[in-house]
Amino acid sequence: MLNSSIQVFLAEIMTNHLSFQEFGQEFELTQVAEGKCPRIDASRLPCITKINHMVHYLGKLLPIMEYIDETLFERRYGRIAQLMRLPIQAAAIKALLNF
Amino acid sequence: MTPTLEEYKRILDFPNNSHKIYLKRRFEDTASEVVNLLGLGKINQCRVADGGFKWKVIEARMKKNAEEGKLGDERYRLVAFAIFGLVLFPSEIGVISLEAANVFIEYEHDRINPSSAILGETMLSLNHCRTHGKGAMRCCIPMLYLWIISHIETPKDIFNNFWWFDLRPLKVTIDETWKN
Repeated sequence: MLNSSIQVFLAEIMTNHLSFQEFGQEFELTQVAEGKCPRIDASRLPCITKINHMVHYLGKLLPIMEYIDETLFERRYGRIAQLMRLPIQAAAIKALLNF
Repeated sequence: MTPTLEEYKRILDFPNNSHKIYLKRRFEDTASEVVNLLGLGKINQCRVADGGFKWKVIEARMKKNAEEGKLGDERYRLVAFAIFGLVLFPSEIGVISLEAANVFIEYEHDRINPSSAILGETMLSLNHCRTHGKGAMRCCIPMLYLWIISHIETPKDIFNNFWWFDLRPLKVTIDETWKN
């Protein structure tokens, strides 16, 4: 759908000598009509209300890491163990979801 | 998508990166393969009805290994399996999914990098939550957060205190490529 509409507009640019600004405006209007526009007032997608982003059982997994040689672990499995200790800001995740 | 995949790979920094992409399960019976690999004993005792692994069984085995001071590969494998199931590919509460187990097996056998699978899961989860406006994100949240943070430019040092926040793979690549 997107490719076909782009082709239509490109054809219009070629034939009717549309400027890129006009092309952009018309393309946005098409997106709004199709409900794909990321603008909140134009989008048909619901607002983000409640998102659960908890990582479960981390409290039980972290103490076990004390018995593990982390240098050897990192050589075998990369930095996955360090991901567990990362404090996460829920607001950042929620903000990203709106895009 | 490709730059994002490269960033994920670089941040996770899996060793012996062979650039093989994880595609699909090849093992016919993932569960028995995991049980053999981790030495969990009987399959029925460590699985739930619909296929995943019980976290409590894995946790008990890890605690037992830690108390006994057991050495060897099995100890590392169990912890890595738990991280794969709880952090990289989370599923229902108290269950490590077969999908996570399969990615783990692929990594153990052929060192196939799971970054593409993590990114794919993240995209699906983001799409689901955006479409419905609510829900639980079943993807690697710490990795997603790290990725967001690594793209924030700030004059303050607060984001540069950690070793990984110095990594801005895209910026480094662009600087190196377009320097001349």
